[in-house]
Amino acid sequence: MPNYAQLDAGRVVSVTQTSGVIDAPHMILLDAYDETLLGKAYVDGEFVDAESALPRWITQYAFRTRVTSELIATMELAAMHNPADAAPVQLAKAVQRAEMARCFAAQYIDLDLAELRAGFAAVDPADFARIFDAPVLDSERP
Amino acid sequence: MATQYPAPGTSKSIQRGRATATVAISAVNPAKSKLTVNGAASSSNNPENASLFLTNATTITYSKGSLGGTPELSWELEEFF
Repeated sequence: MPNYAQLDAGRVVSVTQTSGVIDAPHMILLDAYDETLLGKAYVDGEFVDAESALPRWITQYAFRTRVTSELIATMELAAMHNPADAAPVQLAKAVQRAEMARCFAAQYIDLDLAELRAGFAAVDPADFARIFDAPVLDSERP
Repeated sequence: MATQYPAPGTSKSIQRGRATATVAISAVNPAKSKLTVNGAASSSNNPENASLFLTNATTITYSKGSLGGTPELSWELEEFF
């Protein structure tokens, strides 16, 4: 009897053993009945974990939650304008404020965006890993 | 020689699966088929409120009900002569 993985939006929503052939583009013929495929993504002819197939985008709210209000406050204080600073330092702080404003105005955050990750390079490595490298939860996605 | 027909009520085909959405199946006669839902995989996803229905000859419709969640449901469909 034929076995199929049924796709919806690129994800396996059903594993089915049928009594006859079903010829449809969303029905992927399997060598064997395998329920572990349920929920996986089908990419370039391969079944992969859905998490690894999805872009690592999270909402602004989720990003701020990851960063924490305390760290945001620390970053804002560090970037505050001080007329006593040398001109290059004032400029660097102004750029930092502009980058933070751009980041926190975005509707969603791409955790793999290199320039964003570079902007947070100075934070504690444990905080950095928690913010950028922790698995993305479904509840965090846009 | 007389043609032999299967006795009414004997099994003609069995299909089975596990799903989180409406399922496409090989065509059956709904009037002579029995769908059995064997249970859900997760107890944390409102499985008691999800259900499957044989809605036509080639479709088993998944309903997750009003409580939300998308539990995996195992099912078996037997068609009879």
